Amino acid sequence: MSLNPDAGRLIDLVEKQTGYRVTLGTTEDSATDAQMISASASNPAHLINISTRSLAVADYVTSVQCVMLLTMWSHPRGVPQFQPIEERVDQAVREAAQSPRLAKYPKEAAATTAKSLVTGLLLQLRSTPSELIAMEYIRRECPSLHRQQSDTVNAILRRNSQGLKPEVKEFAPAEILEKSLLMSAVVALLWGQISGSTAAMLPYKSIGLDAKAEDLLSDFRAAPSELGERSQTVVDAWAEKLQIREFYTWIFRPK
Amino acid sequence: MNPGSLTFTFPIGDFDLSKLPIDPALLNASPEMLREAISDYYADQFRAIGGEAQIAISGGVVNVRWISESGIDELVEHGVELLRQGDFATAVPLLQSALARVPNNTAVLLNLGMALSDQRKIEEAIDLLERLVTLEPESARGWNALGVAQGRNNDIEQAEASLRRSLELDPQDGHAHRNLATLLLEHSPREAMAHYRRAAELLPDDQAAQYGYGRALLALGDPDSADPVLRRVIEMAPLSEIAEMARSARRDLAHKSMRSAGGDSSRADATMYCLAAIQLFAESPDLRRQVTFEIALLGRNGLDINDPASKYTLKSLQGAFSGLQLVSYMYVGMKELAPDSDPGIDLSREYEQARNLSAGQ
Repeated sequence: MSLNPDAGRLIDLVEKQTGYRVTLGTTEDSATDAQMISASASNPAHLINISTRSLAVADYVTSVQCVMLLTMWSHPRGVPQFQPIEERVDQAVREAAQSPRLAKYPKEAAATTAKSLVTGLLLQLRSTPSELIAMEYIRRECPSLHRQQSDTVNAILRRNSQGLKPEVKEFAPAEILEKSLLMSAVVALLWGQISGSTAAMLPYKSIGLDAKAEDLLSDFRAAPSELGERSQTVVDAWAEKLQIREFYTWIFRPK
Repeated sequence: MNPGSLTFTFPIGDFDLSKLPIDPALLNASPEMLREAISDYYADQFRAIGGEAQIAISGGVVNVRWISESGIDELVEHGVELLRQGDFATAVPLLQSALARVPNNTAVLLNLGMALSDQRKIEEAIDLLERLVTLEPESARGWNALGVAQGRNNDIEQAEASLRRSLELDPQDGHAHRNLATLLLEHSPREAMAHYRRAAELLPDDQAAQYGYGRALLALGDPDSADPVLRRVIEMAPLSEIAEMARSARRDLAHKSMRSAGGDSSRADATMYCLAAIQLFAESPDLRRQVTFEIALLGRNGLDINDPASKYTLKSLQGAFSGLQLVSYMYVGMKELAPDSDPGIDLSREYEQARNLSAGQ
């Protein structure tokens, strides 16, 4: 298979450390850069499907997914599964639906939007620390992927910054929106430190999120160096600060 | 002016906002943020090549001044490297500015000419490339690039002459063979095929050249020769747009062959395989996902559905299977797991018949 050597090396590492093959494919789904299914008793391989929209940066996207697999599979207690606590999430959805910004819409639309915002926030909490781990890891270990990394991260930052548009503020409850923007600001802050480009932080500075983003980034810096524990520790530390720790629990699947 | 310095200006509206890590709507709503972000972008670009960059934005115009520590050559090299990385928006104004300083620099003429041609600024491109071949009439790459630009300008006769001139100067240039082949395909398919073949020989690791050869074989009615070429195209870089096109061409080819083998009616063998799959998955629902997933993985680069030999094995199911048998199992699995998914082959008639048979049993 003709892959960039750095991406090929990461695939080899995943196969060696997890004992399962990595199979690459493509998908027409363009909502994200890639879909990944980790191997398990019923799946005989790790499957990474790159969106056909992202083929120009396929090596970088593949590498990010590999680092995420390494992160998942390196936890000493097993493969961590982020498990939302249904009753607590439902309660948060109800509260969000009744917030002033959503209460002005028809009940059903408010409830659907509230659910999407709350589950989206939890997904962002679960995935951002491992994205940051992958971003740093690839910058350090994979010099041949720097150009693709810049293109991909810039696109992610551009997408994240859409949360600052006035139309989002119209309907997204302030409490949820600020938490989400804060995690986006941490991504922008770390990228600025890695790349030397400061533009990504401009929109977050303009609304005064820089100090809080520094604080969350310091949690990331202080976390253990081992990948799996690092990701879980950062998720929990951020969740405490964002006051959403009671929304989920961890279960560990045997490797 | 410092010998190693240059200045270029452009309206702020011409800046490609997709280069920045901030949503364009936010930038357009905040002129201050836009100015800072563009300044940061150029500071970052010039950091890579050293020297000092001064960026000023006023009155809707961006003014970039760069003072080199050594000379203009490194700027040209940087511009060419940016083009190689596909960053036309940064490279083109840089090289245009460099050209104003060194109007007879053939590297700038060639690379800027090709970039403008790719951006479909054809007249400007032809102008630069004609200047290049006047300055350097033995430049095979110059004639090749000029031929491509003339072809894009629908000036087919001139394009053909330029590409033939390029091949006279360098008969081993696979890219020129491929470009000439593309130009000739419609009116001289046999000669086009010879050039595609030669391009594929000269550029054995060039995915686009191999794909062009495979498509030409298909167009000229030689699917048996086309299929292995397309398979190799996929193996060269499986995660690429060209590989996707090759996969699609192979799927169409396999589908056509399968249908023609069945006289364009339902394939009884596929119906029976679908029926077996329906029964298997009904008896052992746990197998549905495992088997479907495993066949999907196995089939990423294509299963040979036109060879009846039982040459495939699975971990999740005992025995040996033909390509059509596995594809039928996968089709049933996908339809049962996610009815709206696209299995990549149309076995709807066979699946429907199998369901009717299963219901009647």
